[in-house]
Amino acid sequence: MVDKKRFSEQLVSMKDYVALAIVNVKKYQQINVDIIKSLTDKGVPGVYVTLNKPFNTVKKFFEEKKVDFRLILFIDAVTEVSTSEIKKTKACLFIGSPENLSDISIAIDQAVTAIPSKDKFLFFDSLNTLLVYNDVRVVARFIHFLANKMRTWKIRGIIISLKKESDKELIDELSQICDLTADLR
Amino acid sequence: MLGNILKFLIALFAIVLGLFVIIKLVGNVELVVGIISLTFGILAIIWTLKARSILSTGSSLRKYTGNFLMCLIFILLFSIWDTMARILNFQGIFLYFEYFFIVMTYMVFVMAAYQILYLGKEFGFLKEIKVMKKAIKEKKLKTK
Repeated sequence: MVDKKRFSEQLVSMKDYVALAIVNVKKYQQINVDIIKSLTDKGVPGVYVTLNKPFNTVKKFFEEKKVDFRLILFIDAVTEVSTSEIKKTKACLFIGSPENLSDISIAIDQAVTAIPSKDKFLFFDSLNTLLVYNDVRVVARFIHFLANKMRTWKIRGIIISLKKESDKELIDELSQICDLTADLR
Repeated sequence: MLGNILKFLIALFAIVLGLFVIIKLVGNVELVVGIISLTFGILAIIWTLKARSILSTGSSLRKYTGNFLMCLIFILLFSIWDTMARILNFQGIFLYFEYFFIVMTYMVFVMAAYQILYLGKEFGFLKEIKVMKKAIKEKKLKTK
């Protein structure tokens, strides 16, 4: 495990990795914004998948910190959409439910491959929300799949997990497949 | 690599030889082709059903798979009816069932094609990428 400062430096300096950041609930939003800002300020485009907070809330935080929105494709799987279908706006693709792992996978695949740059990131926020809606084995399989995809794409992959004792086993298992793990409590 | 090519060639030879023997034994090429087509159709349905069971409930891909499955079922029904018509020499009104199945197949194909068009529109990021390209260019110019 590495400390916060070293972790942030590595996220910017390294180009091809899968990182797991275990964060404190209180500092969670701040850490997310800091990571995204450090990447976009360097001109690295990417995909932000939010399963924890609705896109509008994330947007407000990002606007306050002057994050360049144009460099990010947003996928929101927490905001409920009126129909069961997926919904697309100019700024974000709404999946409708964190249970819908198939559509989340397709959306991530399409968004990452569409980005016209070799150097790009995929930010997954967060692991814990998936556990609320899905079985732990399904989540573990999904994250394994996602980590493998990140390696195939050769991108900067960042998975956020809130610190919870109940999810310790899964986090320990995922730490093994990640190149970087940081406890940012 | 060479091993894989050799395996493929042996498998291909075995299939062709198997088909030749079946045709020789049965003596009716149309019937053999019809039955073999049916086995492919059944295999396709089994794979599609398996895929559908794994996909998340309510996902777009699962819905699309459902439509694809309907296409396969109708085309299989068409093949069954066509094969039976040849064996039993169907006449008159019985031939209309064949037309019904093929028309239904095309109708469900159209529905599936529309669904994939919708998926393309929803999951495509072409417009956003144009904006992103501009932003990346600006950032590069700033850092120079």
